[in-house]
Amino acid sequence: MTQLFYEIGGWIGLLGRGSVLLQVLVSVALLLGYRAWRFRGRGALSPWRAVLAKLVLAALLSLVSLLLPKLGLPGGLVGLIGQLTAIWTALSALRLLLRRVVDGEEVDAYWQRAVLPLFLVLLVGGLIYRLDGLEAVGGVPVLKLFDKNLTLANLLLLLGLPYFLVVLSELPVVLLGNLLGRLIGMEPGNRKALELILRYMLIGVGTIWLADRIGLNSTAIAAIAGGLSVGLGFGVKEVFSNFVSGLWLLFEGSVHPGDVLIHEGDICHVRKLGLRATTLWRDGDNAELLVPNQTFFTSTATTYTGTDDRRRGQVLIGAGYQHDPEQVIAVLEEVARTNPRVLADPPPKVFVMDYGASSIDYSLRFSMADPMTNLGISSELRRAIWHAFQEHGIEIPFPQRVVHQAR
Amino acid sequence: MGKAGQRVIRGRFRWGTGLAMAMALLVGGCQGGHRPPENLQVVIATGAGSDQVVRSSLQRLATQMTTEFMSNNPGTNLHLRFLEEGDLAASVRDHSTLGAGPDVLISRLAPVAALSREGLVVPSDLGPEQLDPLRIQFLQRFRQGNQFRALPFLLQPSLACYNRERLPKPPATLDELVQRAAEGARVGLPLQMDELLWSASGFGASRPLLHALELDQGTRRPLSPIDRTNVLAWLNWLYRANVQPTLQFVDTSDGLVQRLASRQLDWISCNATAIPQLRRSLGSRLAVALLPSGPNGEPAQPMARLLLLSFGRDSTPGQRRVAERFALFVLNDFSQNNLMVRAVGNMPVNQNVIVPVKESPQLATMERSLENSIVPDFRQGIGLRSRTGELRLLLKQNVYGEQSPEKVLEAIEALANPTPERAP
Repeated sequence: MTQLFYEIGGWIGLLGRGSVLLQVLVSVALLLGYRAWRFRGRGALSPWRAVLAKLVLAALLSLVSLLLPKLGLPGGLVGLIGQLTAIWTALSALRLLLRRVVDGEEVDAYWQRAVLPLFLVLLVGGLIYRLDGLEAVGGVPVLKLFDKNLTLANLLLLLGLPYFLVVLSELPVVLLGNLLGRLIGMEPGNRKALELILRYMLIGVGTIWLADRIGLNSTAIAAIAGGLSVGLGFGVKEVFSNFVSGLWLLFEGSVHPGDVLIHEGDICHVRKLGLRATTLWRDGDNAELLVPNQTFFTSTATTYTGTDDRRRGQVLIGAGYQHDPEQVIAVLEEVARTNPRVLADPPPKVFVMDYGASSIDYSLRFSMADPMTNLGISSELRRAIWHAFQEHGIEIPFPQRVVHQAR
Repeated sequence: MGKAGQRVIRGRFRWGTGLAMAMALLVGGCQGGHRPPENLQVVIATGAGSDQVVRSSLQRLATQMTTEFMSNNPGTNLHLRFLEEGDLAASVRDHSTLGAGPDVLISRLAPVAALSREGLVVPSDLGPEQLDPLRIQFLQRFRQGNQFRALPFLLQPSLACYNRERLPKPPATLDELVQRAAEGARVGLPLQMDELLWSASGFGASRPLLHALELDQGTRRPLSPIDRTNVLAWLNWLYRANVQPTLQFVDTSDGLVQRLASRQLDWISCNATAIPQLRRSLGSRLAVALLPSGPNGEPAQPMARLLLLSFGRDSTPGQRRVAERFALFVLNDFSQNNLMVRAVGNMPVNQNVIVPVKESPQLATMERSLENSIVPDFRQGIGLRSRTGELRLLLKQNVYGEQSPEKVLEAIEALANPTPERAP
């Protein structure tokens, strides 16, 4: 640590040089001037005007960096700040463009999680690289790890790389998944499974590279693995079991994101297969359920999206005894056929189920393309049946109670 | 604008004002009563080859040297940077555009010469009263008026390094060298002109070539008919030598060192700085000797490497004063003696230092090699270095018979006298 502060002391020492100090002051003055111009006595600029203003600032900084050498003074530091401003401006413009084609909230979320931290790394790294050299600063030992000096670069990698691996692996993997999906016509569920596996692999490879980079030798890895196995045996058994179950489910392909299945009697949509748990969406109350992966691994699951995505639904209805069942069946089948959300193939079928106490009971069975739409289609069919029965004079009988009053 | 917006703006201005005050305090503090330490950037690019161990031992030595200096000069902080020699000029240029160029450079001659031509290193203000007592060898070669463009720091002589298990006695002449190769000894020679020039000296061709290849038209001396005959004799010897299957030419001297260390070769021409690396690989089997003399018995005149100390242009007057104190410290009798003993392969430029030739045959050989060595000045150093690639290619074409020695000589002359468009 002392050496790190010693290095930083060296940079501060550069400020003692008039030419460096002048560049810092000029840059700070231009940046402060820009802030004052932008916020004094005017409302917030429109996003594109703000980009234009930043572009002018970057151009101004670059112009000053070109003028200073004409006066026999170095201007590289001002130029560097100009370049960083230009990069920031380009990123701001890219963000605005992306917001036009992709959901704005998603762009903003990715911006906060990935682009801003990356720009910060670029800013600090760029300044250090130009002033001192990354190797010189990165090589400063900060602490001992397994009898080896952990350098500043490795410490920062240890702290920052896992975050960037998780955050940054998302976008390229989705892009690759989309590409593969288009090239080989992969189903959305399989594509998502592939994306997840690729992401795990990327994170895994990155972690192994990191372990190698910071100098974890095989003995240290064995020690960690030993500790982990004890930990897995006691504390994190469930977590590990869920993780392995999740991977197994992906490889087996029995549950993918996008599947529709029955969980505890409710129909749910599989949204995400995570490291520990699967996220299900329950249509009935718009709830998200986090179900540990091993649940699917150890118990029976009912899915509507195994071999195909079709689901069969049924509507139970009673009609009066005075109506010819052939007529009722024809009306019911016609009702089902006219609903656009009912599949023509296989065709809807009506069955006589029972001779009930007050009605002949029929079952209208139909197929739908989207398993999640059963409730909506059933409701539409019931409404249409009522109207059709009214039109054909078919009665829907119901038990009636006659109350005799004692005199 | 709403109150919230005004609060945001006030917040931003408070931030800006705070930053400005911090800057003012920082700058003001630097000129206040308490004197802050003087921070110096010292860049070291010694071209110690690709051996990591040699480099790290050099780094340890340099760190120790600066620590000793700082302990004797409180209030000074020296920040060391180690660079590849090939990266030095670009790095100094890049830092100088920021005003953050180094205060002190320690490097071989060629990059310093290039930086000096660009004005990125500036002459030293040290005068005779400070430098004369140190009796620095070759100092006058770097004189510019009353100043010195650089100060010699250490000398690294060229030698013959060989495996005494395979070659009990080293070849004393070039003919003997080829004879040994014919008898089966595996001999390696470099294809770098500056490293191979020792073999030209035996034919009286090295100095004419050096002068002919100078960049400066004013001091360049074209080859005379006698010089041409000598150079041609040398080129013919190189071609004939390569006919021996056990004598091989290798692109770089680092390549030669690695081959001797891995026992693929028995005899090479080497720089003394390779001794530690070779000693680790060969142990007591490693022996060093003077390079073979010419056909008429003239001693070989190898080019010794010269490390120079020079000063950057961006220093404040305070930094420059400390930089010069540091230069005098590393050139004094104590430091130079220390470097000679601890940095194997380096010889002092301070002539007050007595080289213990009786106690150390290795140092004695190095000392004798230096007696005959050519130490180039800026013009010669940069002339050779700037044409390294072309000269290597010509030498390669010569030894492999792709071009006749006459054609190669013509090409060297054409290279030495470029048309204005071709001038490097």
